Amino acid sequence: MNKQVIKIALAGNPNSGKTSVFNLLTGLNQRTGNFPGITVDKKIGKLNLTENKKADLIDLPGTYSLYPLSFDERIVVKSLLQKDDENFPELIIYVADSTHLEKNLLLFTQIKDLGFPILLALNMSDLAEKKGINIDTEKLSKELKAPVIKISGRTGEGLDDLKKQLVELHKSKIENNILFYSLAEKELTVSKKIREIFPEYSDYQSLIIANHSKWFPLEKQKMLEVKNILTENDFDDIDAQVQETLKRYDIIEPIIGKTVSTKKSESKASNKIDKILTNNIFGILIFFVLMAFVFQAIFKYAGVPMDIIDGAFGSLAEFARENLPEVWFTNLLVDGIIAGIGGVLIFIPQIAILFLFITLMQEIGYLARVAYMLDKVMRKFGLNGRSAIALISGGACSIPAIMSARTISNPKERLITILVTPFISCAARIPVYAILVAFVVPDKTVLGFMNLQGLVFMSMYLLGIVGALGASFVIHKFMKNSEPSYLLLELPDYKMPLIRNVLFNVWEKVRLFVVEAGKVILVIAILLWFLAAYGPSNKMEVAEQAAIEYAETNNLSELEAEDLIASNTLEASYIGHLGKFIEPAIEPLGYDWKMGIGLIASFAAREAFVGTMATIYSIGSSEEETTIQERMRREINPKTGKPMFTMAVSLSLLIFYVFAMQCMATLAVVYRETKTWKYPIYQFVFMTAVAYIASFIVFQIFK
Amino acid sequence: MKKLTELNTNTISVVNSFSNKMVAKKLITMGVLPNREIEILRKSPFNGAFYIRVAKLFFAIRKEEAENIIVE
Repeated sequence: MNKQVIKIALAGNPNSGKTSVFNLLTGLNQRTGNFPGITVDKKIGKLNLTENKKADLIDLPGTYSLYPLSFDERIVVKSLLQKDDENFPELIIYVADSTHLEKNLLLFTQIKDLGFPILLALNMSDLAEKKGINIDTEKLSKELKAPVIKISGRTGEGLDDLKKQLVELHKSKIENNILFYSLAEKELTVSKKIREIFPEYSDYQSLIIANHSKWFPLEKQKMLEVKNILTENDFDDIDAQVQETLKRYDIIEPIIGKTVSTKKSESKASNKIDKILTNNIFGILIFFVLMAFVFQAIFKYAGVPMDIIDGAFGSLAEFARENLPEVWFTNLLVDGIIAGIGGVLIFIPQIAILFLFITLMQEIGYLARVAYMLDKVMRKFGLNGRSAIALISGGACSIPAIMSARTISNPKERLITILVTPFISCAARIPVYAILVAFVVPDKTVLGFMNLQGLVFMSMYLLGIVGALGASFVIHKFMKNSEPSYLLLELPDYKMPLIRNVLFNVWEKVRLFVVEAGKVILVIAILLWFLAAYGPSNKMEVAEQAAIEYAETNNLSELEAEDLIASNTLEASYIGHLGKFIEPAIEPLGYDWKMGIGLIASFAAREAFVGTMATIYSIGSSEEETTIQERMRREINPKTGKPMFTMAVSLSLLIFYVFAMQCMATLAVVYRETKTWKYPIYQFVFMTAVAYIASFIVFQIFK
Repeated sequence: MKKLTELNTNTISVVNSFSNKMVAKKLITMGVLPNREIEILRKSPFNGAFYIRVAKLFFAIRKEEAENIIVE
């Protein structure tokens, strides 16, 4: 059997419902990869057209035209122009919003002029019908010289037809040489000359190169030649793009006139809703109430599933310990691997709840309104209204949040957003906050309904926001802005969210976290187990022997003796030496070497703190079901003889975790996004310094 | 002929031209075209962004950007 895999790209405007079509076509059969060069996440799904015809469906970022301003939109141009690229598509499915067809057809005509066989999928056709918009698909198909199919990403209507048409389109291979747009005289001269350098390109493809000569990746020699051609002919790229776009609309307008009729007067529901939701007073108020609700929900509803996960891994560890021989491998399995995996999975409820809310707000269309309302405030700090969305997403995880900054076209605003987003308290800080807040704050209800722990929890988040905005203000003052900054944002009609889309997104984010962060955390868990279980030469055995003798002569109880042995052997282990090494540096913050170990582990990933503390306190001791909190309460400061975790120490630790940059994965993403190690290093040093100073002040005040 | 920013809220006018070509490029790409109806629906606090309608589309646009839209 000759099995073919066709490469198909899914293109369209933002808000055209492209993602829901992608999800419907590929189901769970998708993976994320990278676009070459820049590592923007690329979603590829498998699509079965017929039994023997399979396709790789590539989801391109949404863009309005081939003349993009922002970073992620450029990918579309690259993907459609680099013929030797592994992602270069054979066919295009163009998803258009039926309720705003005219604007959606601009990019369609551009892609068609590039020479691709293209199929127009009129999405949201059910919504258009409700609004009284009638589209004559047959006529439209003739006018556009491309198959046109009505579909609905909501109901799945028309998708089988779409697959059939794709097969037809692939078979037919029509030579596509009638262009919508005829190049102006100067454009033609320029593109003919460019074609002498790139004989494989058509006139329009060459024009695109001319218009993107400032950033399009070309060999140095060829790039110089192109630039020479452009200066020789006095080619103004912006002028050319404006003229082309206007001309295209001149062509599209009559086509729409012939094929689209609107019966009912359009509804103004979205505008009415926005009278309240974007009201100068109520709008802001509603936004903050909503955010407060989200964080209360996380604190309230994540608890039960987290306890279940925690309990399950506890039982698993116990089961393994009872049924396996007592050798090093069992210790590695129980204290390293099982504890490590449990420590990763326990975040799932929190991440899922947060992303559920963020995705819901995005799907409904609310996040764009937030950007509108907060733009002015954000700009005072050198940010953009769109930064608000990145900062809010940072409440779940900095990694997707930093990646979402790609929609900001101004390089300075984008960079500042990337640099300060990790100040926002992410889900990984939640367990650290949770354990320390529960430790020092009583579980009381205040103001009738607010949980006091929840309130303190929220103030940690507020501190993070203050840190982020403060840092952006400082960076803003020191950095020059070389390019104009834009807000210009479409406010799409409010839509009922598609639950399937929302769940898909939540699933994807959770999976990304478990796989990406999980790898790091698991490796650290194993490494830590090793560092704690072994020590230089025979120092650990000597320490253990000394502890046993001490316990016998002083008549310690069994539990006390075991604790003593555990802490003495740990002190003699590799990690004990490491913790002691940094102890002088962290002493002014109120921390001892054991917390130092927790901090060391946290610099790779802060979520490792709780697991590390558990490991440090339980290794070598056979106490069962000792929660880390009880263990923390029993921890005695050897110098004062009083409990180690005082109010001052706990608060100092909390503050440290609010501000410190303790996530290798985030630093790696910042490197990928900025393409230099300069920024992740700045970020690391700056945030750690802020954390150190703030914790120092807090400890000195409260001690 | 005046700038969009000189237009009162909820007063319908028509887009005539643009006074900055970078802004023009972005605006027309998104569907803000000459001869289309335009109105400011509301303004965000502290002299912030404008909430505008152009034909059937809605946008958030900064004052500095809106200044480049010339209306009739």
